[in-house]
Amino acid sequence: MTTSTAGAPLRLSVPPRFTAPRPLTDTEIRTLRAIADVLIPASADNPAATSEPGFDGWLRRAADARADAFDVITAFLGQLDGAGPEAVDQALRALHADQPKRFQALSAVVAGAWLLIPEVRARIGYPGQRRDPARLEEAADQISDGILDPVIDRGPIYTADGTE
Amino acid sequence: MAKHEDELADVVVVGSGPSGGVVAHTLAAQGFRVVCLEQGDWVNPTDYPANFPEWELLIQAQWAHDPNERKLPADYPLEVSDSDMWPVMFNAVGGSSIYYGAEWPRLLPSDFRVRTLDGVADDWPITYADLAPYNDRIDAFIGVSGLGGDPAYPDGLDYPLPPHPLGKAGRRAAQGANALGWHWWPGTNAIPSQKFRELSQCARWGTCEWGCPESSKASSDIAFWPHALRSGATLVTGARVRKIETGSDGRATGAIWIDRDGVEHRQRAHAVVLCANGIGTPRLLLLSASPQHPDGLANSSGLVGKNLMLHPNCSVTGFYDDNLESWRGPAGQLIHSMEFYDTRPDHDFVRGAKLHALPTPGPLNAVEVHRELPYDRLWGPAIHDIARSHARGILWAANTEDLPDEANRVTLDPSLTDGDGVAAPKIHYRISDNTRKLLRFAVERMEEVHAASGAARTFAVELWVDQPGHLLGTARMGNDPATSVVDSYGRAHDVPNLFLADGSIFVTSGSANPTCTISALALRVAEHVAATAKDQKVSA
Repeated sequence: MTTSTAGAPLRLSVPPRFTAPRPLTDTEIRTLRAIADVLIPASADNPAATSEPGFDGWLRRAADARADAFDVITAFLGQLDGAGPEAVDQALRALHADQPKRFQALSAVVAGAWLLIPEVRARIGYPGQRRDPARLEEAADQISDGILDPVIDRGPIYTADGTE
Repeated sequence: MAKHEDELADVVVVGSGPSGGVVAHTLAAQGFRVVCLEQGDWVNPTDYPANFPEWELLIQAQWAHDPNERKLPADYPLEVSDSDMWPVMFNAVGGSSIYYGAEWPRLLPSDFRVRTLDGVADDWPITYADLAPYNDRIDAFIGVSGLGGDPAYPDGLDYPLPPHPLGKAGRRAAQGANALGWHWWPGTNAIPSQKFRELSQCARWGTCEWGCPESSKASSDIAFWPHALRSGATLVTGARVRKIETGSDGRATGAIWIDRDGVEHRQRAHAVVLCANGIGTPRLLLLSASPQHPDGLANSSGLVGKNLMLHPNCSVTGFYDDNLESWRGPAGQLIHSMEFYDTRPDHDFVRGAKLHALPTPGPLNAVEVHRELPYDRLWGPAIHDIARSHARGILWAANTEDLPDEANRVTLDPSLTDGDGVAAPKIHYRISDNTRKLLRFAVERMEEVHAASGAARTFAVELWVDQPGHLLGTARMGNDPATSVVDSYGRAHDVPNLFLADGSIFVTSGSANPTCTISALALRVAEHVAATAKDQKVSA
């Protein structure tokens, strides 16, 4: 039997369990937090991403999910090691302007981590994708108030093909 | 030379997507010994990204629609440097229906008569009425959900299951269409609104285009394959076909395929049915060139690979001020509009577009839609409101009719190969002026309907380069062997026991999502194979 490099049976049509090539270091996490403070700061009643419970853990999980971009992201983090808020802001604006694909990957991981936090999901009204089957009569209820009447009253609109 | 000789089959089917599933089941149920060769393998409902909270990140790369991005072992690369769009597909048991949205509109009567009605392209050798009985039987077999009486279609069109709820997003979209006096109708979807055969009742996960964790979308792996296997069909996974062989009499003798360990097999058969999609099928025909068929198999017309049609898609996503519960599926279409489907004298283009409204599941997806905004309007304090907008979105999207053009074609790339060293397809595809006008027109109409529905802000995409995976026209059907590759039953004009049953046999694309038509055509092809066989051998 053909196997993957990890020794598990190779699945042809399913990606392997997604994990980053290595864990993010404490320094990299610290830099990602600095980036998050720029991209997702506190505002009005909304806490900053870094104030949310368990943010660092969700960062690691988000980095796993975009393992394809791990090298690009960590290379950028390396350039910002120890930078202050103003320098981080300037670097992000430059990345946004000059390397949009890299900025997309980095910001998707940071925002994606934030949006994985249950408290954040509750605050923005996102229940997650889940089972939510319709009631038996739900479809009928939603078209029984006459919303389709204008369409029906207009009558057929198709173009005859001349073969009838 | 193949190392392993497999037992003779009556019919070998290449590809297990909707057309392969229909063909395999139809023939196995009539006693044919059917072997289906599929280069991918099974995907379980628990595999799909929607099972995981980080699903929106997973679909950006690992589970991307684009095989060039996904790069799974079952995928083959596509050379797209000469293409305005990237054909997308999924390679697994179930084929690209694993990732389709299961929108299930039929082609309209005018689609089969484009030359007669509009003076462009060509008429099909069959009519709407010819295909409708096959549509009806497929719909009944898989439990299509929809509302009968759509005035965009001739009388008599109905569906076995009731439609899905419109939801707040669908009703808001419909109210906009009503305000403009447009046609709209509750969406027709191959997603059962009630439990049906192997399919669960739709649980509205909303992630239909990245696999259904509920097994409630009629992808071929669950809609057709359980029935095909019970009927006696054999499905070989991890089987990549590299050539269709022919004998000295010109008839197909079977397929050469490569297993997971790189070992070659020869699957002999009385007949061959190709169901490898509008890219994979012409690729295989071109790969099957031989001294008898120097330009590729079934290619005396020179049309194998030509007339590629990709249904260019455009969209306008609107965000509203009130909660539309836009995370809720199916997606799947909530409603569709055929208002601009046909040619109109006041347009500066011919043919038209099908418009459909969908929900917009996921807050990170909402962020992605907003990326065209200036930095400070998306990031910083603004991000909090944008994250909340996920629940207030409606996606209007359009399939535009793509007219056939021989310059748009699939060839074999001289250097790029798949994981088994087989030449990859090269895509040559340019969007025509007619389609450019159509795309702009469709975007304007979708902006208009959002405005009529009260959208607060909209984001237009005039061309989705990596959608929609509608791969059509590359081995068209017709009555004249000089101008078509197969007859109306999918039989190759040049090879009497070789059949094609996928989107490659479309003459024109229409603008309806094609899997409904592909499945009906496959049923028609399979029944013709059975009807013309003697002692399970296909006669000329």
